[in-house]
Amino acid sequence: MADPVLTFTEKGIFCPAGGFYIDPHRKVDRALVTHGHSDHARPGMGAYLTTHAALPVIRHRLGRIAAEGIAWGEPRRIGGATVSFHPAGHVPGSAQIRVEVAGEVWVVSGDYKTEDDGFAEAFEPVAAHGFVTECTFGLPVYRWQPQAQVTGDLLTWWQGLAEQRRPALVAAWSFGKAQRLIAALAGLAPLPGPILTHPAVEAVNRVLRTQGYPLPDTLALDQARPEDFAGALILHPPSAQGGPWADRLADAETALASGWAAVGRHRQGRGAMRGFALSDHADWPGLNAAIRATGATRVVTVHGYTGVFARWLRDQGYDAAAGDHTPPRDEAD
Amino acid sequence: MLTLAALIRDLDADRTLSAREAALSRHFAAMAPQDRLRTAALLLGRRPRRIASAGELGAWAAAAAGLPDWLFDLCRAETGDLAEAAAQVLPPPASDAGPVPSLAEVLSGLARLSGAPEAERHAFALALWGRLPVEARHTFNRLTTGGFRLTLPPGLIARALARLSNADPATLALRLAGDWDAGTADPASFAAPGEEALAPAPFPPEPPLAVPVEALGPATAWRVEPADGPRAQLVTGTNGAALWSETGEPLDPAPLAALVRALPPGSVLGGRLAPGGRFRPTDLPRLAGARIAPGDQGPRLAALIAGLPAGLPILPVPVPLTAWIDLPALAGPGGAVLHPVAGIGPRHLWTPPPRLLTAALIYGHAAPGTGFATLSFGLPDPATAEFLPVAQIPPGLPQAGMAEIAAWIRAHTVERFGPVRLVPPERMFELAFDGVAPAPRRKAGFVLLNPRLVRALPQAVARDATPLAAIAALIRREG
Ligand SMILES: [Zn+2]
Ligand SMILES: [Zn+2]
Repeated sequence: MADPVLTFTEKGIFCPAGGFYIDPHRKVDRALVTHGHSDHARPGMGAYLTTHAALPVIRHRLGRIAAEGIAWGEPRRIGGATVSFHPAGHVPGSAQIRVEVAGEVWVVSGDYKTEDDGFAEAFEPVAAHGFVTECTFGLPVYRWQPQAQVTGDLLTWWQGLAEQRRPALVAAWSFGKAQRLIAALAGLAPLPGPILTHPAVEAVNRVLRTQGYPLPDTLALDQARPEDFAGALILHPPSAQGGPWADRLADAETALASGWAAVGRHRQGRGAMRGFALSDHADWPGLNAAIRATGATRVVTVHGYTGVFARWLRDQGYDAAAGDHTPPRDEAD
Repeated sequence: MLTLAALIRDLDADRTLSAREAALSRHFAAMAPQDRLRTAALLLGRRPRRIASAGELGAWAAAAAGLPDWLFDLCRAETGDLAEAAAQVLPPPASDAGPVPSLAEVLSGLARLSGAPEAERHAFALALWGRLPVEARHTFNRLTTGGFRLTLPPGLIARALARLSNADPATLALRLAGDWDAGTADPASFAAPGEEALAPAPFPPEPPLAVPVEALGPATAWRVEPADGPRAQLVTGTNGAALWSETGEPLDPAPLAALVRALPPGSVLGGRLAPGGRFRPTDLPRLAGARIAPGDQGPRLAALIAGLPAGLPILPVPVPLTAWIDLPALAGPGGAVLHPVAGIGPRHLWTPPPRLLTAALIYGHAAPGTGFATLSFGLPDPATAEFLPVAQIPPGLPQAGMAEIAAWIRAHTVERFGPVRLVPPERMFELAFDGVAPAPRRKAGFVLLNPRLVRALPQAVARDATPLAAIAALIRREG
């Protein structure tokens, strides 16, 4: 019997026919990388292959690496396998990776979301025999409202604070969520105040602007004057430490922009006063719809509620199992 | 229902009294007058009887969402809240679902269906789920299962209502605290002026003293009032009396009934509710309907009390001090309030100098943006050598120092419980505190009163920590 197209090893998802790994979490010679989040693009690989669109952020984060970019949908022969990269809709440049070996097609989803956020390249279903799906939010309590609804709610909240000359402090991941929010809010102008960004957010903003992603100008926190803070929206990574600007945020209201905000317990656990359930991952209906759209009969779940989701998929008639490799934690939610 | 759900979201977001009052008045403004009273009733704890057990609601929601029981149980575990899980697993209302149900429709349905057959209660829940957005569905589910628990004090609700109607907040607060029915109450008469207002007068400020007492001049210029209970004002009318807390909440005046009978109607007696159900008068802003100037209140109060019958539950008015050295002995657990003998001029709250201890950092409680919202400190239990938590306080160190500590916590986390990180007891700090109170349910057996972080002790190690027993002993000595 031939090797399976993909195997799930300690180092990550491996393609024996092509001799490469997808989003490996240990050092390997050849890595195909879905996107620039730190749980997918890790340092120390011999060679990287990723989309042209994902490459600048990965270089920004990993420094000097041997990396090659590839166009959307371009087939590439690697050993006995043919691979191509297709938009995953998760963050700018993020891809699903299609792997074909001897006529059998598998797709590794990476992280994905099915709603078009108007900023990242929109998710495209890819027909496959087997689908490796993330399931960060693979429980039925996770159902997102449309982006326009969530950003509208966020804007209303910000307006209320701006009228009181108070800052609105929003925790959002520095790559992906922050830029998506900035772009979506820009579409709702006029805004009640300036958008200030944590230096970690601003660094990614610069990279994406250079690439041509339509991102309006923002003001880095360390460049802001004291008067800029009244009525401003401040975007910072959830793990950010207070900086020299911390005392200007004393009367801020805090919010979490994340899929976890859909559940009150998670929102409070993250110390935020408000939650805006805006996720860069698929929700429960999105996961189920994406799997259906591939036409795959075999599904491997990774990254999240793997056991639960695989059990549900088996109940629905899929040949589904949890992948053995489960990376520790996601950078984006 | 939409406004009620949005109100609850805002009340949860910022729990300070001023933010809650603003949220109430903002959302009350968007409600019909009758809905304001319905909402006020819910927030005062007057809730409809539940129409579903937890088991019923879970079964209805799982079936409606097409989920097997095992998966719905996981959803419930994920949210930790049945009402929330049941609200979130269902799809949003269809675009042709019909109007979002009003609060009146929900409440009347709940009242009608209490005790009805399961099929009718089930049908009602399904019909409303189909018309309610997720957030309002969550509130609805809490009402159906008796899980609606948020309560607010009547004074706070009254102030928010009064902003909209020009009504007297004191009259409204007393009406809200009294006996009424949201179904039959008339908003207009609710907001109408009463026969007599039993409103409190402003409480004279008692800011904490920022300088040593000696800076206040001779001790004989001051009278001392022990801070041994909450401040309150007793207001008498011709047909009753009201007792107000400093935050404007009506309290029960019944324990002071004898004092009420002895006072002339139209009086406001300010003071402190001391232990043992007794009242210590300090102010007399109004007597028999006449306002009294601050400078005159001292002698008028003394004369009033001298004329009262014996045996009333009142304590003597504050006495003049002879020397500053006597002050600590005259203070209560919360310190002492210094009143100028002349009756005019500012008061000061004096608190005893802080006590100090050396404790180890044992937990960090993470918060976005600010790193760690609070830190927990512990003292060693000699029996087990375990550090037991005695204080949880905001960092309050200069930014640079805090950043270093936050990084240290991240690097040395032994275990995580949600946002809480456990670290080994290796970083020592000096804490100040005002006293100790017994707390039998705490592992340490006590809590520190008003603990605060003084400084990091980089040279200190775990064995330099103050022994737990040394602090516990303060309780016994100080009673
Ligand atoms: Zn990601
Ligand atoms: Zn990920």
